[in-house]
Amino acid sequence: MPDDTRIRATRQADRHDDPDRRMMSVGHVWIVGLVCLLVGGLLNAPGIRKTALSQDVGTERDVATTFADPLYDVSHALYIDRIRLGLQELIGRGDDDGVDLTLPSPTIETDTTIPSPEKKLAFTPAQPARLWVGGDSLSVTPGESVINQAVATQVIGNVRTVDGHVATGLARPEVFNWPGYLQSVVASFAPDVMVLTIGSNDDQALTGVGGVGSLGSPAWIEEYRRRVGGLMDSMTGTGDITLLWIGIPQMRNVTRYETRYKLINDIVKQEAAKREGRVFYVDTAALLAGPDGGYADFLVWPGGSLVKVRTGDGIHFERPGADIIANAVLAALNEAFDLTSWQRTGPTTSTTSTSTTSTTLPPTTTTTAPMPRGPMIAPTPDAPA
Amino acid sequence: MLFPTITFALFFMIVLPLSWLLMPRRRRWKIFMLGASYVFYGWLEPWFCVLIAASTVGNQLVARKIHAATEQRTKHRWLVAGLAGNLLVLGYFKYYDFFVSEATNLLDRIGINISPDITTVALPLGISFFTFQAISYLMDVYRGTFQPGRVWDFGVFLSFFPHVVAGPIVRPAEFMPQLKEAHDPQQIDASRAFFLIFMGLFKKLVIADVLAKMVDPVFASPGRHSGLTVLVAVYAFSVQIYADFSGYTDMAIGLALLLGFRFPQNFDSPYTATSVQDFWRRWHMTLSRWLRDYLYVPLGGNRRGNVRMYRNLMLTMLIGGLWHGAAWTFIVWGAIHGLFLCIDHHRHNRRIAKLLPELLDTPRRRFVRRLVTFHIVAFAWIFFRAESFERAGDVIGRLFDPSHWFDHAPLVTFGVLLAIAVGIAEQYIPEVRMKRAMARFSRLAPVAQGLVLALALLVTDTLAGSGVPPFIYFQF
Repeated sequence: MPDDTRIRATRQADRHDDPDRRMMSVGHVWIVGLVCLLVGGLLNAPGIRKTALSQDVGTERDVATTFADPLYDVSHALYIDRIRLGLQELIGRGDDDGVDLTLPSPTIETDTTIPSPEKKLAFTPAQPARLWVGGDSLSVTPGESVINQAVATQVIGNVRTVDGHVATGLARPEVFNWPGYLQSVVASFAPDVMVLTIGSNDDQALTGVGGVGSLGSPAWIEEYRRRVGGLMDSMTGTGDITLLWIGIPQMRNVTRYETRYKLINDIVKQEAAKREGRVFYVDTAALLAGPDGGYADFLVWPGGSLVKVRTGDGIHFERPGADIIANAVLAALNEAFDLTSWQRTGPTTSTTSTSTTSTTLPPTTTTTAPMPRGPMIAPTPDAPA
Repeated sequence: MLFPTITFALFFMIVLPLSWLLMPRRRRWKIFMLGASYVFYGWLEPWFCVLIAASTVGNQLVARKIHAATEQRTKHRWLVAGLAGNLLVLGYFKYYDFFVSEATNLLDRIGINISPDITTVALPLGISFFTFQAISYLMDVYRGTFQPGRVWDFGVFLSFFPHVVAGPIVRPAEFMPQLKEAHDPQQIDASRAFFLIFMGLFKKLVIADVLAKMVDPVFASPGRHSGLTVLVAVYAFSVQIYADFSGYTDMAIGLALLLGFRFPQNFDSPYTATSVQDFWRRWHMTLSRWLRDYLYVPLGGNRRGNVRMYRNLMLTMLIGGLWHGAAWTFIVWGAIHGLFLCIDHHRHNRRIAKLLPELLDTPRRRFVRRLVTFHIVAFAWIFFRAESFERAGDVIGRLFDPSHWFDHAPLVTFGVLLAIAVGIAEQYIPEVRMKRAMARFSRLAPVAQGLVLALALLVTDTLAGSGVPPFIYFQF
């Protein structure tokens, strides 16, 4: 190790070790770079156009699309983009560069409360539920905890890994079209339960069909409500799927939470309430709050130890924080379904692998919420991904 | 700003000609490069620039004081003050909440209940890297091996955009003299630079990110996956972290080269190592060297007998582990490496004491050594990657649980196995072949070279997923 570590200067400037390699002038380098960017741009034009559209709405995006759109047009007209599309088809990712700007509208009378089923649907080890967990970056760590705890119940038998798509939501269908994507998940996986976490990237202008600017305006609220309701109905409309929508937690940037995310949470909560029995809203705002009810980085665990629940960015979760959210999701699952009666009647033969995993918190329906003590607030402007 | 983005490509296409244009006028070039580096560094979080500017001014003042002091005691005091300042800043951003929460929990266990006001703050990008460079500047000035330069020179050294975020950790004596050298704009080793940049892009965007998608879910819940899947995930993470980090430094070295600057090598095919000692000669070499020169040697190195040497090795590796993050899992990772380094040294010293010759380096012995070394390193990576001891225990438990070894393994795909194979095989490509390819490339016409690179860009971008996931070493 360190005592005789040898560092060799890179041989990049040492022409003597390789006289065959020709040096280049800065003009030559610049031309190579330019040709590479131009031709590479034409070859990758569909991807560049999608990247440009994915920029935050504003000048940067406008400039990016000003260049990307004609580049794409030229590439498409000259059939150059077909090379990339062909390669994508070859590796089974033909839809990578697709842009779908349409979002479904609600398909039910949203002011009509749908009565919940009188008798809960029961899952057993022999008839386990199929569970899908996913969403934006906030879904990843809690999603892993949800899966761990859900699998431990022995009645969630078929689970995929967390389907996280960073920096996505309902605001920008050109970045990622969640309703369209979830339809493909339903078609290929046929889940009984979907646990979805989106919204933390939606505090911005809405693009796509029906798009509208200025967050919080009546038009924005109406359109966002349409998108949320439409997504809920497109997932649960047939009655085969139950949707658990995890709300946005408090964040270190209190102003941002109070002025933006609360609004989004309220809309989702109201839309979920209109679909009682099909959609469950999991409120995370209070779950990770400190003793004053505000944001906290650390919480006091039931054993008395101080545990970090949020990551340094003041947005995402450390594992203990994720476990608290997972407990609440499990509680909601127990509210929606009968997951435990099989324990009284005895398990029947399981048809699926139900290996249990160790989790920080036991997979119970009661949230073993820690006793918060001492909030730790540091106001730093952050943005989720 | 991230290297593998269109924004950076455009930024660099502007910076490159302007940098060469201004190069003959040194002062203007330094101001320009300082500005460009601050734009790059502050792109996501402008206040980071304030931090690096404060570090530049503060360390330059201390270095000047050390250099100007005539008495050794005064020099020493200034050095201690400078080191304390750097370590306090680093400690505040990186370790404050870790140490306070650990101390609180310790006190709680012995019945003393306190409620500290812990504030977690966002870690500024690259703070470990530029702080280490600043420390090496102070230490070298104190030792008299380097004279402090002008504040512009030191500012460019600390913030130079190719290395400011994740290294390589460059010494002042390697970089600052280059600011005075004449750079010939007709003599750029661009074929090597392009090779490094595109290799780096491929390693990061294709290999590392394909493997991340398999590694993340397995390490999140190892108990849900078969033993085979967990084993593949351990191998996959070993390759992922190599591809991710070496990919970044390859790009950094290549970009610096296009601007006319040489950086030290940071990786030298680490998974071809035949011992843990050999591994540390090949892995994150600039950190190994930094730890050796500014920690291991001041601790006494191997100068006071074997026992002290083993102690110093262990301490160096434990601190090296802690450098990676405020968690006990990183300390265990360092301890495993420290232990095997001690074993390597012990075996070597014993042979010398018994006047035995070195073992013959036969292909078979080399193969076995490489295999064993890779598995020791991969085992240690489990602690590096796992979010807690409990999770690391789950991973290890699953590896040795025969009842679940051959369960369904949907995450072990052809793509994952191919990425692991390519990530390891790349390290075994003979240097001579790479040189030959670079030489051939260098003789092509500019347009042909651009077309070759455009095709490489097509393959990389098509195989890569959308977006650029964060580089693992950015968090350190």
